[in-house]
Amino acid sequence: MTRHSQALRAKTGLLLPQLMATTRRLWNSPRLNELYPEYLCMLHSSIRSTVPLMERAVARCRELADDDPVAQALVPYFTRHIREEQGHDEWLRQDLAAIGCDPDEPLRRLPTASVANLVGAQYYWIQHYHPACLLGHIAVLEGNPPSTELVPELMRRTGFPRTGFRTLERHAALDIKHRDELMRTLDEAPLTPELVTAIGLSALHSIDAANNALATVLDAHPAMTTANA
Amino acid sequence: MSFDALKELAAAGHNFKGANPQQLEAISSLSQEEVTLLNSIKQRLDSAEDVVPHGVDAPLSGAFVW
Repeated sequence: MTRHSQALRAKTGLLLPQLMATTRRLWNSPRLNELYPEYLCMLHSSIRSTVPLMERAVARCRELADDDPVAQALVPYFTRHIREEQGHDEWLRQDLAAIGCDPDEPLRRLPTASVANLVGAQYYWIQHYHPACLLGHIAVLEGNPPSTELVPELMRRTGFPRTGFRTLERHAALDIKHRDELMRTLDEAPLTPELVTAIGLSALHSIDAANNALATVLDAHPAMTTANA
Repeated sequence: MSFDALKELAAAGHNFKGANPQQLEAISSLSQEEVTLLNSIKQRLDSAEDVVPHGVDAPLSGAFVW
């Protein structure tokens, strides 16, 4: 029998090529120096929801735990993961500062509708269906980490210092470990067929929404200047 | 008649070339809700298809992190 983690990978594999293609368009863009700060701002608007989303999920799990073995099983995973994910929004601000941009810029900007769609759907599913849905979202965002070749190549292409890529560099290593932990959680949780579907739906939505959020970066008309722009 | 995920996906243009038996089993188990979402996304993406450098600089992957 196919494990939950394998099934989820097969499902997401149907849409991931599109997200990977949009990713390549960004990293291969002749406007990469202008777009990289825009990308960091967009990513900040997404990453700053990481811990609050899991806090909401674990709170909902605790509310349901008495009558719901899946919710009960997910409390330790979310609790541990909240600790591991603290402060990543600050890394993005430091990346912006390192390339000569204002680190407060992401806090001033109105978050785009595409990021609200990516993140907001998760609040809805956690609150109005089941907190396990968040596992599909995490599987997408954590399941496709930056390649080890990415940062050296982006440094070469942009001329920005290594300190401007800390978020990508750290996640290239961190997300592999976290992805394995999530896959174990998926396989060990007593998921019902309905929750397997819900997690799949959440993952597929997240790929599409992440793709749209990345596409908005490609369409951006940069307002920021960098140290070497 | 029972729902056939593979048939519905193939009819929408999804390609399963290279999928191994385990992957095909997983895809066959997709629910109607998942297939509907997948097909609606595919339809939108296909209609907006532009020139994408497929296969170029494959090692440069990863943009979204958690």
